[in-house]
Amino acid sequence: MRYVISLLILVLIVSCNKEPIETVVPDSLSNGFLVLNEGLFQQNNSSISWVDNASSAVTSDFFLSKNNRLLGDTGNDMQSYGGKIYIVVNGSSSVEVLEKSTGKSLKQINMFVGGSSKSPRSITFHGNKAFISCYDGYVDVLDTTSLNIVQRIQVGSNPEGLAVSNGKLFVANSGGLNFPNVDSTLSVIDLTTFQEIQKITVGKNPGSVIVDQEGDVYVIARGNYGSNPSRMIRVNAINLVVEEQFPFDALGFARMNDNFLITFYNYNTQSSAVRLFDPMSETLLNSNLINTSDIQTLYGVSYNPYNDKIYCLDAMNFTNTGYVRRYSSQGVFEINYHVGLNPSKILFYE
Amino acid sequence: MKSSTTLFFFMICGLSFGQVIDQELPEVKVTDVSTEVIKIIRLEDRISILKRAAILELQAEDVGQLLQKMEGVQVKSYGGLGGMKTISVRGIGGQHTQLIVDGFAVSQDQSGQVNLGQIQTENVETVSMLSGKSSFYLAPASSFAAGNVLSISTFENTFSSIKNELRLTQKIGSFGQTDSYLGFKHCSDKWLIAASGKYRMANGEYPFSVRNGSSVYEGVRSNNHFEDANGVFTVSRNIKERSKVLLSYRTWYSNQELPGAVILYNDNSIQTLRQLSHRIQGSYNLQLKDLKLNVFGVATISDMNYTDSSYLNSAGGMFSQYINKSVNTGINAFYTNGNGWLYSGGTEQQMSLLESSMMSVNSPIRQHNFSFISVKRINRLFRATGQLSSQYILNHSSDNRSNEFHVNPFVQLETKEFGKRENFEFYTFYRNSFRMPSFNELYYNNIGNLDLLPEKANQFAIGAQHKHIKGKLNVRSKLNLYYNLISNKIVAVPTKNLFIWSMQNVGKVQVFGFDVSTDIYLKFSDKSFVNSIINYTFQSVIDVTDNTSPTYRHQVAYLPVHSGNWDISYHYKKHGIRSSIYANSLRYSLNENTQANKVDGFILADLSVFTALTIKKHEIRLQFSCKNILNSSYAYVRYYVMPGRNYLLSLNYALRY
Repeated sequence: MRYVISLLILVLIVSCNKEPIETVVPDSLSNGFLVLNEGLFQQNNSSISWVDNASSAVTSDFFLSKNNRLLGDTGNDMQSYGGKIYIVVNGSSSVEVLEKSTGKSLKQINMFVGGSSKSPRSITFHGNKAFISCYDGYVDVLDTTSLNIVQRIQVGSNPEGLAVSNGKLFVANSGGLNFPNVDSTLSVIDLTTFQEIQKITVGKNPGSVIVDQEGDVYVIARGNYGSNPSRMIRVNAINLVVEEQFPFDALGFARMNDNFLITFYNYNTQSSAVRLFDPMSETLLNSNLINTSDIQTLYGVSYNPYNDKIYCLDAMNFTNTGYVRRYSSQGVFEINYHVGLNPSKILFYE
Repeated sequence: MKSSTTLFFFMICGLSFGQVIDQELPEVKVTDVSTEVIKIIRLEDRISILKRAAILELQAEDVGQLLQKMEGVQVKSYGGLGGMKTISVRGIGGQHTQLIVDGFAVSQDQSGQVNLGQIQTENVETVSMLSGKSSFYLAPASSFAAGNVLSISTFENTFSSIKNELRLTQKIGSFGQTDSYLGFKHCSDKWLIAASGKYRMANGEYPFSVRNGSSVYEGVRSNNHFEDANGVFTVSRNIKERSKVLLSYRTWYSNQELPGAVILYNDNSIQTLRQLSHRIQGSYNLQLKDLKLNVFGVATISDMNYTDSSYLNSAGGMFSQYINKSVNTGINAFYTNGNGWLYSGGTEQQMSLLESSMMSVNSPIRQHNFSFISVKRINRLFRATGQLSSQYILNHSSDNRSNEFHVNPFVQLETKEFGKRENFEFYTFYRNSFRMPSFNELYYNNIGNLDLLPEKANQFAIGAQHKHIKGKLNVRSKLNLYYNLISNKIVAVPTKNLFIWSMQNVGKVQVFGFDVSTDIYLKFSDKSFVNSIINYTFQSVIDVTDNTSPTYRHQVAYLPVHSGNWDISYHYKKHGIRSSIYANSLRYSLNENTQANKVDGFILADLSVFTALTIKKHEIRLQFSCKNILNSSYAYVRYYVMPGRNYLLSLNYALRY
């Protein structure tokens, strides 16, 4: 009996655990990068890590330490524009606006309509407006000065990636929640009238959208994760027609100066590839720029123009904390940074 | 988020089919066979068992809450009042536990396990957890093949020496909870006739707080209303004291809102679940000198409807229906001629069919045969059991899944009481078992995996029990030590993208655990006594799948290393007070044991006072409980917040004549 009681007391002692050592984040951010970690659905564990280039030190919970509160559930996108950072948090249905130099919150925009979640997904910018794709079938227009939503533009179902070219906004309608009956269109919105003027059929389950130096729009149609493969498609932003579907597997992309880094991850074979593509000549310069054998699940790629490095995001098995893996621009591995759960976006500081 | 919602629902859906039960069949009078058997049954108090008096005093809303009181059992609750509850026993998932209610097996083919939050306690007479223990003799064959057995017996299906008994229970509690039960049972030498009805509801709007950085978010649980009702009718007839026939029907209805996890900055939750089920079961018992036979049959139909009108698809929401039909039939035999050898054997055929548009194949059907033979040798020194169970599984669906046949052993050795006062006992057992992938795991749209193999479990345990009876003090202590290995563990992993997960056989889990418990009964006088039950469970449940993985040898998600209970009650005449404390240590929300995944341990303390008054044939019992008296803010599952301090008043009336 006595030892049972002591064991119970032990339980209580064990429950009181020591807190981790806090690393200090500078008040003013430079020479480093922020990583958005998506976290896992329903766990409110989306987070931001700060990585200092000089020391390679990683500070997790950057958002929490700057703002004394959590980012929320499933952060999907993080972009900077005009001295501000915009973080799109899907599960919490919010957009967090931070001061870029400090990481301090300027405003939390709650994305609800008539009591329902808009479920924001991605963000892009043009002039003094930010455009936020919302899974409820709209693009919200945010005034970047007042930080108020000024308009909603109806598009297709479950819009994801968006990009601006030739005075128009191109929005990928994924229809992902109707899987397997997904959408396959790109909505074109005139940025003078803020009206959808056309839907271009590009291929099943379109996701990311990017624009090259010439203004051509590239979109990735992810297919059905089976017989219908995931492909990159080029759309002419002037006559709004599909000009080309490229014959190689592609799941995501990022700009690297004038070129694109194209990523692919095969969920069946668990193999990854990072390709180098020249959008001027429309040719693949290298189909395997990086030796990806150390990457478990390639979840994204970014190029840092300030130090000419490539950063691959490794989501591991999605339930273990991920890594950012740095490579030279020639694809030679340099260093790993251990970050949070499901790292998906990076923002670089000079 | 996308199909994560689906995944989440997938994990909870269908768990509800289990509740379908609350019936029982005749517990065979053990005295019939031989005195040896009586001794065995008595010795089986090594199993964890809760009886009606304790069940009443605990004022648990459901069986899930009761199981938390048992050593070795970890309960996972997805929120207060109507929330789902699942268990793991000695580190092994709830899918390895076969639920037996009133002697009938409850089919769990759809989701693999039963939502214990839906088995209410008003009519429960006993709850026993048989960890690795050999099942009782005339139990369905499926319980002999399972890793663990949870057995429940109910008022309506238990023979009693009281001729007529009327029971009425009325409860009123916090968060709009009301609960009414009316049951009647007539027992005679020839007949058992019982009927009961029950209705409960709650608005479930309890306040909660969650930490958000340096501040605390205070909210009120919304979309948490539920109501449910059930009805039971049983009739049983003894024929010439040699045989008995029983027929029982139960219907169950529930309509509830599902609040989900607390999502920061977004309290928009509008999912609902509506269920209706019917179950009819019958059995025939025959005793021929040294042989006992039991033939039984059960038919169940369940209809479950789930809606999520916040799901952003073109249909304007997710609306899905699942109809599960199952039939079980079986026969068991038990033979002994009193010479120290006991033989039992039996077979059970289960057939289950699921109809739903959410499945990747049309109406999957499973035929599952369980058979077993068991031999027990009893002499002056020990009792030894050897058992073989076989399972043959036939899946009819368009997936061409091959049929399976497995034979699994169970061996056990128990000493008889020894020592000067015959107060020590030891036991050891080894059990090899497996559980089939559920219909959801195999066929659920985009998530199910047709190639799944059964999940295997190996259990090895040793234990001891000590009794100390001196004057007015009665102390019983138990120690269990176990080592379990689970392989081909079925886990959800992303296979198409982060949002489309799929089930895979990838896990290997090693369990080392022990538990100690002491039950002290001290009698002061004929009028008063104190009873204290204390237990402590240590469980190291670690992932040993891959030694290069970051989670290698990490504690598996949501299983605390330490947990324990301390219940103490003082009784004076028919009045009493009971304090019930449960504590567990920190857990992790994912298998990676990082700071970010920590879920705090907690202490739950309940206090109740009760009094009873008997006037001739009438008994009135009044109980008031304050639950979570420390007002702990806690969660079993991260962000599935549980209620703070709350109150429950219950009135039990019984008329016995």
